[in-house]
Amino acid sequence: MRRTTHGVRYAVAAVLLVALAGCGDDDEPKAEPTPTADASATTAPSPTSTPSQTQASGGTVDAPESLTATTALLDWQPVDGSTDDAVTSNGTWTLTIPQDASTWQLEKRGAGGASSGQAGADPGWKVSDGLLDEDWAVIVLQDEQEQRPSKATVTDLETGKSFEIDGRSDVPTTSGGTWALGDDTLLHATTDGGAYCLAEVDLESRRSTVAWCAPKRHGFNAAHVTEDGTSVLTFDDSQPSCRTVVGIAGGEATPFPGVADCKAWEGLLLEDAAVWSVIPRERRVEEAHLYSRVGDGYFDLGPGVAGTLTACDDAAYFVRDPQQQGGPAALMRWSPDDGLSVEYESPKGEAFIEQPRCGGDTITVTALTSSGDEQVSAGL
Amino acid sequence: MSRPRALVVAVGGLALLLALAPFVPRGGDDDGALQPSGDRTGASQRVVSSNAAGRSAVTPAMRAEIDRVVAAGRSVGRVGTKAGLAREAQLVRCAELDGQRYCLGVGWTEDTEADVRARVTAAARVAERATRRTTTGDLDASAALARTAGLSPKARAAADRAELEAAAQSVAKVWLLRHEIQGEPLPADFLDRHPEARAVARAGTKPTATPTPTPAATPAPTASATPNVVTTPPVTPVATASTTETPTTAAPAKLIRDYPKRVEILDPKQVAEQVRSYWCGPTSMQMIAWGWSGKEKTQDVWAKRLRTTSSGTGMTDMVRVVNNKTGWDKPKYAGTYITLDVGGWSYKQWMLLMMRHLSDYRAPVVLHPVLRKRYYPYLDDDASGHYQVGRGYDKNGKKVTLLGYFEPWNQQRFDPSEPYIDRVQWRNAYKSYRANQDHFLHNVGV
Repeated sequence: MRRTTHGVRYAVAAVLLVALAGCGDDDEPKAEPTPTADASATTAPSPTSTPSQTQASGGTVDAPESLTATTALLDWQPVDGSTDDAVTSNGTWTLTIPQDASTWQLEKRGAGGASSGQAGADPGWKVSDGLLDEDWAVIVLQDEQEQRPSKATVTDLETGKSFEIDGRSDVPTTSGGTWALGDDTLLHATTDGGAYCLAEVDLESRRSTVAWCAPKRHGFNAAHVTEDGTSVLTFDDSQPSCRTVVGIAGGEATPFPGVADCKAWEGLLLEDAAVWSVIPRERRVEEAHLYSRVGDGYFDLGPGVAGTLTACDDAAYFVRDPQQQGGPAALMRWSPDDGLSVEYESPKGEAFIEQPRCGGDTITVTALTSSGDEQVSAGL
Repeated sequence: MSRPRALVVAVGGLALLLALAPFVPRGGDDDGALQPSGDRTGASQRVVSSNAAGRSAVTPAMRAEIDRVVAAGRSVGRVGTKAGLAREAQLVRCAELDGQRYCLGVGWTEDTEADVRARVTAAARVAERATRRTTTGDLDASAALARTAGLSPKARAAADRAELEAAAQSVAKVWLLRHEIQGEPLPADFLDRHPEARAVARAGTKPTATPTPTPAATPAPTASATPNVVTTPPVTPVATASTTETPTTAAPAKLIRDYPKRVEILDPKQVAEQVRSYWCGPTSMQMIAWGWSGKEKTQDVWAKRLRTTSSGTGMTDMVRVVNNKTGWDKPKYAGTYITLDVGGWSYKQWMLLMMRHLSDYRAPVVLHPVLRKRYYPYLDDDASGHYQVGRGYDKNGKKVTLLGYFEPWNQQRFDPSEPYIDRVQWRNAYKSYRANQDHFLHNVGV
């Protein structure tokens, strides 16, 4: 494990000055940036059709190609239970965390009926993360006082065997911090010699390693792990933080190319591609703008909600707030092969959507709307 | 143009202006009066705007009701934690004050006392399961009950009486606010019971005067007759549309479309982040008071005044201190602040309340959301109930309406896994509405 150089501000080669022009740090909510992408979607002939748009070659860093979303609504099915529960499903297994985060339930549905397991978090602990894919389920318990290290139960869904990762593990957990599951790998925060680091657990071998440590006076969050790599958002302790999205490999952190300097919020890696979000205005921290890169081609994916970028089934998903009064909130999908599409639209009225929850090849969303809340799930 | 011709034109123009004057929408007189639909010519039947009602007298009937509720609290005796929530829930008692219901620690509500108790008890059970849960500073149900239960019967009676008497003095505002925003008809004898809500035309009052906008970007005076308002929006005249109800006394409805496109109050430079994890209340209060006086006092000062403990701050204490230690409660601004349960309010009603407060009153709102990731997606973790300072809105053209607020919680200060967040924020107002509704008290300080 090597640390990156202390005090180095990641010098990103180019910034998206065009996209961010006029997005000052003032207190002028009227100062809308000029949209660089058409937020509205075009409707495909069939609501379940494959997005018709084929991926273009892309633009440059300074002039990314704006993508227009097609509509390719999935076959969404309502999820049983309260919309206050956070449900993640992979089609066979369902992981449910109730609103008070005091318990969790992992349930298998099969031809022979349902089998279930349930556990209550110990007093003083709450469920902070519930992660699920085709092979693994991870339930993370966090100390309510955020003093003791978190502890995670990892379950092999094929065998039913579980093991624990906690503050006494070879690479110990720390209190809170980011967690991510994917590609038979679990990511979590740890400390190493006083540094704040990213631990990587190979779930098959149960072997943990320190993948990378943040520079001094830096932190990180928003970890993502896909078949194509690991990424986190790093930031320093200045006000505002200089935020940089980086790929982690070989103990090194490499900034995503083409991301606006210090403006990033999160990012993930796909095959020869990357997706990331930036915050154009710090005083609207929830309003992100998303971009992607395929090879050397850059794309403008339009507006999205900060903190909702999710990798699922070789594609990137993110949430978009209603772009006009009374319009629907949307779940957007982007992949290098298929381009940008709308996969879900909330009931109309006032609306927003939580971060989508990926269960490998199934995705679940919860929409909160003035015409009723709904939690729905769809196979990918 | 020759001089005689110019004179004719001038006189004609003046005559035209005078003729049209009665048709100009009324913006409220100097006293902010609203005209009832039932009697548009009778000044004696006009009611003031809710902010200008002034303090209500505590009538003998209200006094008797306060005595009853206080006495009921004494009978609960000293309640230890072993007594259980069922008994502690009896500490949540409600008074029927002139047709409106006020529940101790909860505020003005439309729920029954039984419903309120059930709600608080359920929230306390959840809070007790989450023992010693880290909060950003909102007093949870369990801690609130424990604090009250820990008082001696005498001390509790004194505290209950003070809270209820303060509430009783604001009942006219509650009536008027419900009338103006929820469309609740005023009782036929409302003005007889509440002369403080009667608008009396004063000699020399200009009939078509609109509220005078405060100069923009005015440095705060050290004394406190005027708040330290930096940006003041143009004030839209009150709409002339009248309610369809025909009570003896009524005020014209003012709809969202009647409000300016954008309003922003308070200086965005007069902000602070909470220096203790449980000081969102003192920090919000610090910013509210700073915006009034232009002077920054430390969070310690406000923590003491708010009676903040490591368990947090209660909403009724926030309202008490806004009323007692700032001038935002003057009739020219919000009038006496109240703790108002908006659990049954639609989003549009809630938004109308925000607009009324920020545009008409030009005064900050004590926001009371729960800090959960589903409402604040930039957070890494779900957190507790919370206080923020509502200070603006933006209709945002055809896009969704935004709410502007000061956010005291700088997650970076307490967690190395979270980046800095600016104290000044604007966001989809519907998310803030839902975060407010999700709080077990679902109330605001207005």
